[in-house]
Amino acid sequence: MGRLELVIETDNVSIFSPKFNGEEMTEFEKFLLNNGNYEEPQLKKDFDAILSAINKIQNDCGARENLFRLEGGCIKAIPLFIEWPRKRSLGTIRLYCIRISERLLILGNGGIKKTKTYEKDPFLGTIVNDLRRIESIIRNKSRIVHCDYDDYEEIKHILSTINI
Amino acid sequence: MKRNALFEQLLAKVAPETKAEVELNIDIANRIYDLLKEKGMSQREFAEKMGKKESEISRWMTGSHGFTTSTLAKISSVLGESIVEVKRKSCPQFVVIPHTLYVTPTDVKDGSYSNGKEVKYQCRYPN
Repeated sequence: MGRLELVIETDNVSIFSPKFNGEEMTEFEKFLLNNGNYEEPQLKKDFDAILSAINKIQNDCGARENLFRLEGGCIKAIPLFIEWPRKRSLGTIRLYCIRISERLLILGNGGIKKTKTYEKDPFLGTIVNDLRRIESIIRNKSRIVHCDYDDYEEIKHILSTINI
Repeated sequence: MKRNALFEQLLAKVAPETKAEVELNIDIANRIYDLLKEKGMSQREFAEKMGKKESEISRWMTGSHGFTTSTLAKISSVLGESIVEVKRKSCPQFVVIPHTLYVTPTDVKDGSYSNGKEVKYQCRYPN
């Protein structure tokens, strides 16, 4: 159980992140703390590219639908500039999210993806499954109150009040 | 407005060139995506015209691809629009024409400007 906490809000986008009961940080903040200290240049650049993409989303273009990498179903990942050639053995960093609309985004946790699919990585698999469960709660709630994902005020209210 | 302190603190450490690179890639991706929508061209049709796989075009749209000038030129040619504008050496945008203005006291009613004060100034007109 837990709540969705508003972590960033600008004129372009409102970004929420799950905060589970008993935790001191949101999932997004955990991602930042756990991945913010890579010394390996490739991974550092991956992380910095994710921060830069979120910065672009918050300050300029919002969570445009074209920008997200599909990860199966409603779960997406923050766009990541992949430089080639790169050491495949190092993997790439993923930050998983639920894109509700251009103005509403939920950032979860993430980490280094070394396996071909996230299902094969127990840590990343749990993150994605948690986000799937949260999206299902939001979808059900929005159906009950008859509002679609483009209704910013109504969906934002749902995100601010639901238990996850 | 709400900012996240930890995010802002880490963002401040990101190299300016990385930020600029990501922003440029996202701007290009958004521009191509908008042009496709505007022209009613599907990603499949665009992929065929570009000689690429549709999956590659989908990846382009996420802003995660670094385009070469050759690819950008081909995209421009396929879509018939420029994708990236490069600032050229600026040419003057105004023509400056000197004028002389005679300022006459308000109590002069007879149209005589002999006591008027001559003021020289310049007017800028669009080129």
